[in-house]
Amino acid sequence: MKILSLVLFIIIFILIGAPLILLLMDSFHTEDSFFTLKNYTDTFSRRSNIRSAVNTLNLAVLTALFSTLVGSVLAWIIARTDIPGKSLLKTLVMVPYMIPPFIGAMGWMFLFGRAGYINKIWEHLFGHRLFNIHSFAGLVLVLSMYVYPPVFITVYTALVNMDASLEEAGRICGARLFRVMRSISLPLVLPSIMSGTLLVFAMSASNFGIPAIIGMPARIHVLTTRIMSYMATGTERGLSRAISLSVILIAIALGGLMLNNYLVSKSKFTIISGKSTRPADIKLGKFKPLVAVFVWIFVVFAVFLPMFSLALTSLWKAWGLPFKLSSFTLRNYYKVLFVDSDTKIALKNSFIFAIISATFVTILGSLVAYFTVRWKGNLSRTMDMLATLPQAIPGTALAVAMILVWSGRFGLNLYNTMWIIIVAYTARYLFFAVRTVAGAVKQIHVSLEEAGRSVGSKPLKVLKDITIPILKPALISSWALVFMPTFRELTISILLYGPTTKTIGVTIYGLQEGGEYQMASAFATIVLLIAFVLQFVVNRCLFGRRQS
Amino acid sequence: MACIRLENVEKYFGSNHVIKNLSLDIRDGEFITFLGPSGCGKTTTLRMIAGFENPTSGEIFIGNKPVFSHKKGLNTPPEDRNIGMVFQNYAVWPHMNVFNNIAYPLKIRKIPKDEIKRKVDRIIEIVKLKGLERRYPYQLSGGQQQRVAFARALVYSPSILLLDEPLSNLDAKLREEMRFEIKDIQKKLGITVVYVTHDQAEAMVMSDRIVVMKDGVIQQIGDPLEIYNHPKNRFVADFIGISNFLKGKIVGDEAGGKMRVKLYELEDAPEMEVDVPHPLKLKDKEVTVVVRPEDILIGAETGGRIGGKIFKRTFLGGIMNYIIVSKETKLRVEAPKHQILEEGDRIKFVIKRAVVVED
Repeated sequence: MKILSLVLFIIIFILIGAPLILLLMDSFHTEDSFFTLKNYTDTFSRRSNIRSAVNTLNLAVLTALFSTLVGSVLAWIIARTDIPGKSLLKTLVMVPYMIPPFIGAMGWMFLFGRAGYINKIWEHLFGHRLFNIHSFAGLVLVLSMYVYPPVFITVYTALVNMDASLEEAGRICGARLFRVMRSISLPLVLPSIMSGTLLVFAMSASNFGIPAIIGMPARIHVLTTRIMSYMATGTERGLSRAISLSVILIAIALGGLMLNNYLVSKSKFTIISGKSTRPADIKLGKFKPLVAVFVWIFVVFAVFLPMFSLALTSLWKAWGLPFKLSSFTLRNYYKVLFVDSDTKIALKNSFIFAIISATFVTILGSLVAYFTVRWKGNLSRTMDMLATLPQAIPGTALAVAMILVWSGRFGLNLYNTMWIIIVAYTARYLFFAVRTVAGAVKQIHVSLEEAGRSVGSKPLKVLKDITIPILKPALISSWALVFMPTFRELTISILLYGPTTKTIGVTIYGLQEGGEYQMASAFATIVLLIAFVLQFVVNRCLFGRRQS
Repeated sequence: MACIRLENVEKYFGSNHVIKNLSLDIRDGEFITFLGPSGCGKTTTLRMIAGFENPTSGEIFIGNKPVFSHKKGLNTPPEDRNIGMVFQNYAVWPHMNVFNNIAYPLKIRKIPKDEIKRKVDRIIEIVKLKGLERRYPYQLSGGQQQRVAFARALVYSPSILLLDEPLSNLDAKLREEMRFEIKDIQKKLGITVVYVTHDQAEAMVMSDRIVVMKDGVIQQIGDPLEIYNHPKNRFVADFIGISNFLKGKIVGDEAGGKMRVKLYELEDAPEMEVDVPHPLKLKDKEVTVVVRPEDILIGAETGGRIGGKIFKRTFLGGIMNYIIVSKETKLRVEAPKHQILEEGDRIKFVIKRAVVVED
């Protein structure tokens, strides 16, 4: 067992620890000196690089604030008021979480871009465009629409689980509803709100797809897009600048998440007691129609319109044709699925990469989870820390780090093969499996395994006959959790793809960049449909399983 | 201080009829306890008085002022009913320290700062929390948190105090102590208290009157002694204390709250006078008779005539507990701890008191 855990540790270290250490070391390393800040001074001697770092911070802060406001208000309305259709609304406002941000950004672009549908209608009516999405404000808006769900769900959960008697005690003491909300409920959910804010801050700083599609046409660069441009130059200098920018990017994202961990560990009070009754819904009275209209307008804009504009574009024969039935066709779908070799290969590639990565992640992640839960100690703690670290590392920076390790420097050159993408996916999403399976392993009392041993079973047989069958739902769910994001991944694969290993994300992005909006939208719509169907199947299966 | 009146209160949760036409008068300054098994509607009734649940129909008055009336469409919100309430899990706000928790109701009432300080200090003295003012709830024990909840409910001198199983989360020893302390505070302040519990010992120790409930219907209202000695029906007798139920055949007519019955389920089918405290609806000549374990005395020297056998003996600390068999009927008996009999011994016993109950 000891040897096995040591082997496991070495694998995890090579997979995650080594690339990150190498990235950090290379950022302080030049040809003539071992340790120097020259890379950084060189990088930031260019104004555009400073601006991209400042943009990243501004974007992350503004998006975090805006999505906190949106997410918390929605959470309060849906969790606590008597607005009709709450469970439907709860599902709908979580939909943006399932949509790949770069695909969502395309939808927004088709609405509010230079020739976007809403802008065109507005221009027709009033003589000018309503809103230019290719601006900093547009960037904040679109990004917020895809990162608010974590805030929504943490605040929603906190509000729903809050002990109703804490609020009732306020009422009985003589406080009006509004005062109870302000002086009791809000302070109690504030830790959840702040936690959501900091998570969204890190997510926003790490995002690549939205700045690439919304920001780059307006020459607004953030760190992730800047790193991508430098990597695309293929020069030594470009690489060294990409490395320093990656370190800065990691520092920003990691800083947000570490602050969050610190605040969570500091927060003195827990408010979830579980046994008490659910708080009663607040009657909105005469404001009910107003609030309902507000929420539905939000849902229409945030959820339906971008998807609708995407679907509409995918049916267009050519961009800019008159709005007539004869302008529409299903030919784009036919081309994506059966004619165009690029899209066909991308579909095949992405399925293969996702299946292999999900399998790797599940096997490796469950082993890590099992060891870290069952064997306490420094090795185990370090392994857990390493395996879950990538959730705080932006995908762009992780991909740069992967190139440093796997492009022949240590004798193994995976560059331009599918394996570098799979290795990067495995590193990136390992924490999904570790978290999911560790939670399940903790539920299995050691005595269940000991009972197996006591009736004469060897350890491996116990693992096969008792532990793994009990863990099966967790294993399946972690596989699905990894498959879904890797299948439509863009951020990592855009830096690691080779001529034969283009993924769905890379291909859609390429079509979009090349102005082939109809093809890009058709492909994106297909991906969304696959994602929704998968999500539905997974929810059904896992939910049904949990019931039994 | 105030009295409370419930008139024809009905409550449905969906199609579930949880309170059935409940009417009740609670006197000013009274300590009244709702007692019953879980799901009997006691907490729902309390929450309707507080204003957290609304009756489906009926009226509720506090201090002769209506606070809820289905007919008139009147519903005073909880914060305007001037009630104090202690919740089962205390509901001490985790983000406020002891002082601020207790001062909160006074701040709501816009009372000047120095007076808040004075009032809070006084109540902290009463509930014995001195020196803990700056502590946060997570730094307090369960018992201390409960005192905070009490102080917070009392500091603004509400007219009534509602207690929702406030002792159920404390350990046995502390629970015992708190019973007396709550009663003490109530006497000192003269406040009307409505107390909800499923623990009959708590109800017995503290209450002026007990309301026994089952399935949303009041089974009996009375002071603890009356409820114990003269339970109205089989449920009350079974729920309060331990009861032996015997079948009896009426052999003489009722007179002066007494009646002669033949306990034919026992050896020699003895006849005896039993209490009939409540009017009876008799279908035939059969009645159910309740005998409390301490009302059975064992031994010929006690005047015992009924034959039986010791079936089982258990020692409970203060008393000796026997199960005796008389003609296949098992009876529970509480005997002094020095009266030691062996299992299988033949004995004679006497029933000192018995009471007729409705089935």
